[in-house]
Amino acid sequence: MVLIGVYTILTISVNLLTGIAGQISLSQGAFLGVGAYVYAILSTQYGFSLGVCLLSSVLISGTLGLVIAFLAIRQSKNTFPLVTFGFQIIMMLLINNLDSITNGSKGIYGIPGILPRSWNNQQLSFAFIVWLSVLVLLFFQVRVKQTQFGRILMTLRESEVEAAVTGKNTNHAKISVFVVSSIIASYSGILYAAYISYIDPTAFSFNESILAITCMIIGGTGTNMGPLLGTALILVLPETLRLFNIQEVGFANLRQIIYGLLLIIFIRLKPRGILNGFSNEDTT
Amino acid sequence: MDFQTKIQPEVASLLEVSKISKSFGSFPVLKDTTFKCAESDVLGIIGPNGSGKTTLLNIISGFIKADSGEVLIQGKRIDSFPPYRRFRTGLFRTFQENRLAGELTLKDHLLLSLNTSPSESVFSLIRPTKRQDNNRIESITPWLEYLDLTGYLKTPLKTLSYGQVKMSALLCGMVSKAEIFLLDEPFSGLSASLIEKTISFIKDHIQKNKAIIIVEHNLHALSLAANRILYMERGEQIVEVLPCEIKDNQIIYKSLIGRR
Repeated sequence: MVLIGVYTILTISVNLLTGIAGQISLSQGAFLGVGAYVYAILSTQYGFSLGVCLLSSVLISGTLGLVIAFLAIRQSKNTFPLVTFGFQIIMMLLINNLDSITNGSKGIYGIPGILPRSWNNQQLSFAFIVWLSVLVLLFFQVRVKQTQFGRILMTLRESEVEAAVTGKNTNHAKISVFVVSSIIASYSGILYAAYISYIDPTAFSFNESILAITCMIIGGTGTNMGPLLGTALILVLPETLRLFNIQEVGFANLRQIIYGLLLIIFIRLKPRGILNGFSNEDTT
Repeated sequence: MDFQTKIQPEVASLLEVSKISKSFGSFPVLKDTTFKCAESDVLGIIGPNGSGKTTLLNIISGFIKADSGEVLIQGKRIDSFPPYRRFRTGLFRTFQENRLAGELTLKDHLLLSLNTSPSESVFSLIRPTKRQDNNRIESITPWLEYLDLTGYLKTPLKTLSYGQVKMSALLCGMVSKAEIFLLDEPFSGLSASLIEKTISFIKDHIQKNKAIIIVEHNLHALSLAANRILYMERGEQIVEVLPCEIKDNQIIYKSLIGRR
């Protein structure tokens, strides 16, 4: 349950960037990793307090987002994702090979939770924090669409020409949304690290980036509740398959196949996801 | 071009286009196009397909870079400006094909065009301006009624009819407080009554103190809307006439209407 919340936050970050603003990013997994690693390293090796860890991972991921966005906006809409893909690859290599800092492929153990040790009901309170964050961010998404900035983002998705004709600085808007999205993604990384208490590079690979996009598409690109629904479906599905007594060995591979198939089926038959179709087409 | 310092337009010309040339590869599209538009001026541009009319609009609005020549808005050179900055300095344009985002509602489009909107940066997320937005929209309801768009405020643009979308685009320009309008085929595909409405909207409500350039193939409608008409062919300015002279001008008649 908690993991669904964590990944919903990641999907919200994708939905903001891709669903609302139309900028496709393949580096959400890397930003998840940045959040998780910054938190893990600062809390285990240096023993910083939660506030410092939170602040620094927000700052670091925001800065990285700023740099990547700055590089990526020079590209056309089609090559924009490639720059983010490059960043994803670079981050994976760095995490894997900077042994002295990230402990390489062995990962980091014993990451403390974000709650004080004396607290009762650690699990429950943590779940509460995660789901509260999900709620706040879902609400935030709704509000984005009602602001002028949100409108600019939506014109970016549909017609950059219109954004220009109404005098909007498209580059500025793209960079801003990219930074906000990176920060949200890294926040979900912090929660992930704090929840699992062990991280290794495989959790933040390119697959994670794709997973987040898959969740968004299946839930409904750009919709308010899509990220929650899509993520819940994608994460719950494998668990229900377990009920059918599928052998453990083939299970992991089967899961990948099912994700792939689902994505293909959705893009062919319902490219705008489950929730689109109820909410948007009830006009005239 | 090094004479920009000397230019000090005597009459307040809102838009000035000076010696614009452009080739696509070895194919020249515009050759030394030069004209001025003053306040309350409606300049119609006609010419066969491929004569460079739309390219001219694209160069003025910055979507295409000219090979040489300069564009001035209120005496200020804007050649180095990216499109969005040009549109901030009082330019507005519509397109032959609809370019407005289809998923957004008419209200969204109007709010985007109202350049007075407070914060456009990411920080506006912290302090939404719903109420101010609604007040702003309220102030333009008379125009919505005038263009028969009342009741469509919350409709995504893609579900409006072709004519309604064209009217919406004009209205966006109207509310944007732009001073120079570039209209690319505003009458094409409209019914006679909508053409009439568009003309009167341009003449009665937009024109005052503004410069308008209309690229159009509908000669009749254009001669009603424009003050003067420029005929272009293969990127060259052939002749400039008054609207009433179109039918008497041999060159225009031959190439656009046919032989007598």
